[in-house]
Amino acid sequence: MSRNGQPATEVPAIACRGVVKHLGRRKFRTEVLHGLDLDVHAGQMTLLVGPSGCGKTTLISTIAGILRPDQGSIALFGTELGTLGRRGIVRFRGRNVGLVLQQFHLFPALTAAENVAVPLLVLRQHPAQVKARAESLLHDLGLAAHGDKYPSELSVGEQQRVAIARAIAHDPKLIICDEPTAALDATSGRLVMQLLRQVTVRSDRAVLVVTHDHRIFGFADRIIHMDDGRITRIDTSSEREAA
Amino acid sequence: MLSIVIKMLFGERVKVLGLVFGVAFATLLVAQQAGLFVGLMTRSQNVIADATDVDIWVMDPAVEYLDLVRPMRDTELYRVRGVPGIAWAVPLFKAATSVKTPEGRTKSALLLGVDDASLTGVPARILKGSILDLRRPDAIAIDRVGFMQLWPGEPLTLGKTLDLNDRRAVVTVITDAAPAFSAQVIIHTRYSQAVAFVPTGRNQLSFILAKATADLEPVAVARGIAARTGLNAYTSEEFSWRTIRYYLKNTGIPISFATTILLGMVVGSAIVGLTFNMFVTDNLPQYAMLKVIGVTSGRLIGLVLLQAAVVGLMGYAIGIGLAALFFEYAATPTSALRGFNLPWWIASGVGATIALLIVLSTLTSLGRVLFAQPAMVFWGKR
Repeated sequence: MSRNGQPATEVPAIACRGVVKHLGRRKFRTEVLHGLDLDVHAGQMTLLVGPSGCGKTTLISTIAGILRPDQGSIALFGTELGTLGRRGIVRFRGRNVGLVLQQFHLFPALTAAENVAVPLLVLRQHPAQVKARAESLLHDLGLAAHGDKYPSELSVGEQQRVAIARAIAHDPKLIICDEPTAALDATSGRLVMQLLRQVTVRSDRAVLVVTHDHRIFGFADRIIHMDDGRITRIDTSSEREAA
Repeated sequence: MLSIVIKMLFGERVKVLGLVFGVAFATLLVAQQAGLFVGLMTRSQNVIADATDVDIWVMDPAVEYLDLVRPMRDTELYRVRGVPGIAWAVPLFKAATSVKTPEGRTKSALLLGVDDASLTGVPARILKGSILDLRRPDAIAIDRVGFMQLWPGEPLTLGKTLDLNDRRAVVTVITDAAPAFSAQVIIHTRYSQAVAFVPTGRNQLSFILAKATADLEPVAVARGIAARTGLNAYTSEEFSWRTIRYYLKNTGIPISFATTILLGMVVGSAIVGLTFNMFVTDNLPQYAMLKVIGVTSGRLIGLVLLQAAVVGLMGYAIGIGLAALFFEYAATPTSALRGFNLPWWIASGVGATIALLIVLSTLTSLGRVLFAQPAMVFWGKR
């Protein structure tokens, strides 16, 4: 199910309950998330929007298990992150979460195909399978001819597509994108979002996109508005269409 | 995953070159200096090592090491022969002198006078002539390198004559004696001939070389000789180590070599440590990204250590190769470094030292990798 605002499964893909997170130390310590509650469902593309400094990145870092909440709980597909140890969270993330970052963070010494292969190699998959999967993904993303190229030899848009391929290579249940169109012009941004929607949204997978870019709001099934560390409003696509 | 981190490593070519250079520099300096030091110490006891049949060395109580000779009365030989457990005992005359060719070429020489009857103490490796030729009048055995230094460019030939303290000496044997500590030419001759070449006064007996009977340990026999005669008596191995220890204790050789080795280690570690730190700092976002992708800190440390091990191995291979080349080409038969080499145990020891250096040099960097916050992929370096 998608674009109807309804959950595809009973268990939310992401369930945040009373999440409090501070950043900084001593006198610079600031509460960034104030007891935040949030459900994100599989089968949807959910956009997380809000002004700079409202806590969007802190929230997705906490959801991805990169930061730990100071209070509250976060469950991904029914797995409570707090019950996993430090190593357990890293492994859980490696299996279940794919990340597309604003600055791509591709490995400059690796070719496009090798970059896509990294999450699979981390999961110790067979090299032959890894190679086939990487080639297949690059083909799907229109990069079949660029597998042997290094990131520095690719355009920004191509680098973005490699980053997307890497994020979905290991078939994760949750994909988190941080400002995926920030470095792109309007046309490229639209193309990337079309592609992202096409290759990532599935009934058993949730896609959470952090963005400032109102031009891509139309791609969302749900839009979660944040301000000052709190959820202020949630729009569904049907509500937006009705409006 | 291993190939991926190796590719990440070689993506930073300049830093890899710096790391490899640092390790190679330290390896070369440590291995070369250690090889020279061991070669020099080995040389100090080569005369003892060349007397392969000898179990026990007997000497005046004042003698501490091989190159300090205090002649004993010839009658001491008979006292030693009378000690139970002695199979045989023979005299050895040892003196430093100089030799001159008829062409006028002069070299320092170590003159060793061995027992006239048994000729015990002449090196077993004879290249030309027969050991029995030493029984001829004025006969001497000269080492191959000494011959090459006295008659450069000429083939090894018997019958050449030398001036030895205004006396004529005839080369009847050419040996392959191991190089001595300082002398350029090593001459063996009969005891009676040697004392004629270099008169030393009433007492002429430098050392007594003895063999223990098969049923007794040489150490016990040596202790027996010392107890009965009041002379110093050591097994060949004990005397070798006494000689080496004397040089270690009483010369600046070990300090000089140790300083160079230490400097090599410090400079090499500094280069490796600083370059590796730069490498890790520049790559922290990549390590953070690997953590985000699901690489645990433990596995990441293993991968970073693998990167360090790869540059370490490359640097070690280059450094030890250069050190081996140095000994191969610098230690020619006629050079001052003849007989010097790079034993396997020095190469292994240097390898272990370099491995330790790399681990110590990369510890700080490993800490940075361990505590690298994956969140930096969102915010930049934090």
